[in-house]
Amino acid sequence: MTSNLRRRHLFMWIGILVILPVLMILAIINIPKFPVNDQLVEIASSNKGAVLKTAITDNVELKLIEAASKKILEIQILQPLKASSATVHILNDDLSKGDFIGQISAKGIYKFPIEKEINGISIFDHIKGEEITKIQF
Amino acid sequence: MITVINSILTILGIYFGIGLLFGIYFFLAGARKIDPIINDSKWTVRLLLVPGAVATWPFLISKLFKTEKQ
Amino acid sequence: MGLDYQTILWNKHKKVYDKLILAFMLMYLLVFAGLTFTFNAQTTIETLIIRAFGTLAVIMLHIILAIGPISRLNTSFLPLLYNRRHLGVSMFLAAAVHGVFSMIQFHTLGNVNPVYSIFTSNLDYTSLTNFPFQVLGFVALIILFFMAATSHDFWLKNLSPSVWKKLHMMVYVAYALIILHVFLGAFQQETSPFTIGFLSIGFVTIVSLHLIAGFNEVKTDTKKSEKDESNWLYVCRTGEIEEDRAKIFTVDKERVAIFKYEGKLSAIHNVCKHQGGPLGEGKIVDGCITCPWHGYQYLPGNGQSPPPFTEKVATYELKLVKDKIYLNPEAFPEGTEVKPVNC
Repeated sequence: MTSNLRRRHLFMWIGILVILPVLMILAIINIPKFPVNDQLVEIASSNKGAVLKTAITDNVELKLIEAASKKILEIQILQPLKASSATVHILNDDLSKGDFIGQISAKGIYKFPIEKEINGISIFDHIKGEEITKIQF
Repeated sequence: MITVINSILTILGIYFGIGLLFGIYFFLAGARKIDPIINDSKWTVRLLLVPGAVATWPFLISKLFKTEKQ
Repeated sequence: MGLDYQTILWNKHKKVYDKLILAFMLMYLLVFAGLTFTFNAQTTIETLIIRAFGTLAVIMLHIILAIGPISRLNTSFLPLLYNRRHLGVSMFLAAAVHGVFSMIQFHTLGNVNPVYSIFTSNLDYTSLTNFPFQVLGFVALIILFFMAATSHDFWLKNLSPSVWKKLHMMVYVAYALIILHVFLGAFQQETSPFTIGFLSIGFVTIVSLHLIAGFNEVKTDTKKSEKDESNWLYVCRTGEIEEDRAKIFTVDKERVAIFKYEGKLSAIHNVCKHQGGPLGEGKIVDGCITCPWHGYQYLPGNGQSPPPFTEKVATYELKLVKDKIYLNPEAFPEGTEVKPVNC
């Protein structure tokens, strides 16, 4: 190799070193984030109520719980959802995506306060803009 | 966006289309004109070289024209 | 070096390397299939093929990219460098299987042309997170096709070594595209921390190897050497060069190989005309300097390939003061006869 070629190789790698991580970090930063509901912690700590409705699928278990005259939607993710950004919405009567409830990510239990009557949920991938699954009670 | 994609794919299609035609010519006659040493090798060598001719045809055509002129 | 072109350049060593490559590929595919069926039994055969060949190609690309800097850091890896071509073509074939099966699986269901579908099924080109990652893989595969298709001595000669080298340096662009393809794909399809973790380890390893080797070379290139009163540069003592071997010496950022043979010393430019191989790492075989990469030969006295070959490299003048070798930094035109110095 000539010194010119050696220099070109080195510059290429310095370029790759800078550009790739920047793009990766920007991609991670750009995952849509939604505000976490403040009431969550409070309700979650005081929840031992009656289970009103349940529903279960291969990867999600749903429970509607009533405690201290408040309704709580408990979502347990049994299998990891293969999506970087999943949001939960109320399922309308016509099975379309309704009001936003909250965001879920890894395996685990999520609890959200619910104010109105609910027949099911729609889990939505906000990066791709498509529904992952819908679950009805 | 769609127009950009359409034009890129059309160019790509034309490039490889011409490349394929040139590849056939290369196998039959072009390889010998570009490098006469290939005459000493079996036809399988030329067949193996066809994908390269499909990929680099603009360069090879200009090379063929230069050798014609000389 | 041979006069005629062969379908595939095989010798005893290359056959052993190729068998090892094939064995590695088959082993990997079998282990991948075994693990998939054990832990994820619902996987379809198409998905298995796509993932197995895709990951295989990525691993092979990492190995290929590591060979260059590793063999510059440690010369015992040089045999791998000389046999890199077949590994590269095999990697392209694995990537092509991945690409073709992905295209069949995801893009032949509709009534549009599958290639068109790759580009238009997701039009989120302005998004960083949801960028259509398959397009990146497609472009990388086209680059790898150009490289694999021209991986033959015929192309090296007829495209000219400099065009060929430029074309093959596109592997870095392909590497960047593939890393982003895997990263975004892993991101959009499944959020497995393993994929991202392995990818990061691979990235850091490859980039570090190249930067360490690259900066080492810069250090060698800029080394200043001692001059005598007539501006000739001090190289080393005659005893420091082994018989039939060379000492590589840097002159004005370019490398010169000073060979010792039959009680004589000769200096020629270190870069082989064929593919830029380091002549000074080669040996004198049958009275000719023989390039370690592909066996191109040059006569030490004039830097010319023996007839019927026509390659020529620049020559340099040497002088001996006691046992100290000095070199005139002004190169002679390529192929100039220079009388060897007796030592």
